Amino acid sequence: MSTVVAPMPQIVEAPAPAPEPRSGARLVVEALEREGVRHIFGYPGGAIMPVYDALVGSKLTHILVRHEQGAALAADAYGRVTGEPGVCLATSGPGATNLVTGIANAFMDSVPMVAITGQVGSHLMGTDAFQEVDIFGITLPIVKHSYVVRDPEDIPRIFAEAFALARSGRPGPVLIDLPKDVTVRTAIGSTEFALPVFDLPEPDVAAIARANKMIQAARAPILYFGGGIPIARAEGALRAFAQRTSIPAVSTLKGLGSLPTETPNFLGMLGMHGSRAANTAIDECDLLICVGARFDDRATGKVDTFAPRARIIHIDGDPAEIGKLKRPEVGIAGDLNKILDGLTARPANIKSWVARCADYVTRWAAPYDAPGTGIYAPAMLKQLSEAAGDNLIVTCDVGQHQMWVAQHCRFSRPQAHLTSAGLGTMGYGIPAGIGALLAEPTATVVTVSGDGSIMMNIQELATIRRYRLPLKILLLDNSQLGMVRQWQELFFNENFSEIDLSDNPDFAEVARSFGIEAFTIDYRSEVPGAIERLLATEGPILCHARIDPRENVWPLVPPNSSNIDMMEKSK
Amino acid sequence: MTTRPMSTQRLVVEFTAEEGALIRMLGVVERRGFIVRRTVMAELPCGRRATLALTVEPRDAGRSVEMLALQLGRIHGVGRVHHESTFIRDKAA
Repeated sequence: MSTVVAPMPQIVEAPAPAPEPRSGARLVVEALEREGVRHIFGYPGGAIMPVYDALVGSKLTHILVRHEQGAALAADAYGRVTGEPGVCLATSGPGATNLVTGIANAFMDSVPMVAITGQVGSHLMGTDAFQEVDIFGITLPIVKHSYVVRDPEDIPRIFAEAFALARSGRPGPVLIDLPKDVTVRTAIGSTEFALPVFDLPEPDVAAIARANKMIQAARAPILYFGGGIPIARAEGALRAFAQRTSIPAVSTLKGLGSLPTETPNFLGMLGMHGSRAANTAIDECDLLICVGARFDDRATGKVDTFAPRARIIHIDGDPAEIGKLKRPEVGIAGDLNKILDGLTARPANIKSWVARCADYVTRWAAPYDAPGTGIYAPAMLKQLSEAAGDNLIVTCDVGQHQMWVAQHCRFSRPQAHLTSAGLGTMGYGIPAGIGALLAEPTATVVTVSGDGSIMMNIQELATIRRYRLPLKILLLDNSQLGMVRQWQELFFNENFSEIDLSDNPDFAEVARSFGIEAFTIDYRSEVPGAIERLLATEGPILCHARIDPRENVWPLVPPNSSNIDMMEKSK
Repeated sequence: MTTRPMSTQRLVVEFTAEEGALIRMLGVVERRGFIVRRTVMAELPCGRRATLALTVEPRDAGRSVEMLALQLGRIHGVGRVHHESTFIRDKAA
């Protein structure tokens, strides 16, 4: 008897079909899909129409904003929350120039973004054609890199490189300008290419050892951290370092949330509107450990007198930030996580220093018992953030309310505080709220705005309505450009110039006309109910809170002054 | 006629000669507080690499050419940046 073994059927893989040539626009969509992009914020127009044509049926969800600036700012917030590049899309000419503020905003705050613009056809470029503008040239100072695509064959490589650049090292915006003919012409669009490597430098081990010795020898050290922490997703390493060393800590505007507000030894924000505890401790410290911050003038005041008694350790992901404004004794560039983990030394004895800093926090705690019956914005913001809990994301506009949010809101994670820190873009709040909600749909997203700022992108209420985004908007209305008025009062001899906004529209009516629930409050007694209603409402809602126009933000470091010379009240 | 000291510094940048590379570098030099006094560009024989020799003058004493070199170095496409200091005594018109 013999056994017959049936031969195994041979599996012959059919050769992959040769890729068919596709339009450049189709290659753009495929490149975005390969990057895992889910949302694009944009506005169509002539030169970008082929891309919009290719979007139909793709895996990408396009969010139609009502102004291209809204697209760029929403993409900015999306990038901050996800850590992946936010994508915005606009046509040539005015569509492209309307993106510029949002691109600059992302550049100043090191936010990953890919901005895609349509361009007139290649043969028309340089002829002053209809809706032609040199967006490549216009944006050169405010992008990490930029491309004009000259051949559709390059689209896969350029897009892959742009995304890698935007998210790597110190993140930033990358612009891709697409001439119309490039999006219409066909190409294979090979995906066989090598990407450049964008690794951070390896931290200098000897420098870390020197830093450890300085930490061990310090008697009055301060940890000064900033936006580099959320960029590097290094809040875990920062928290561990703060906990094992007990070194009192201060934050920049962009660093807020990296340590939870209630962390022991956290002294609050430093700088122009920082806490007296933070600024005093910096003035007295003998060692300043700066991590992921850049000695920005709003943080340091007069830089020559900033931390005058301190030896300095400066740690940053970007080597070009170290020593730019203040020369450190030890500078370390590289991954903040690795460097913080390498700082294993503990100060020998800082108990009395820690106690002194704790005393400063108690002694100079912000008061919340303002006289009168009107709404006291700092107290309302504190209560709102505490009621919202750890799920909160606040997106801010720019002005007095922005500083009140930074001073008085409770944050438990860095992505909870989205603010235009470097550029100070009025109009950031609502588009950022849109971006944040799409990036993290389960979050409680609250936009805090002012009556000046909200008018700069109020058209995006239509976007909120269209996509039924449950954004909660708290509008603090003092019928003035409050921060400008404050400076005119304090530093321009009360010569008030062009700050009156008393002819504002009825904001609750405006919101309702967009189909958004809204209500107005005037008294402190209404605040608890307003907060409850804001947080309980399922859909979008606007609370219009009218506040005292004479209210100022305190403390304040006058311009060109040392941080220690803080003002607490008007002269 | 007066004589005034003018401190100039020379940087040599190796870079990939792609669209916008030159104006990107010159823009950084000017925005970071330096005056461009002289430029010489040369293409290298291999691929699209090139060098740009820049003679620059700081607008004020607070500008460091070492920092400028680092800022040029972070431009995508820029390879190495070398710098050497020179001191020129020049006659102002």
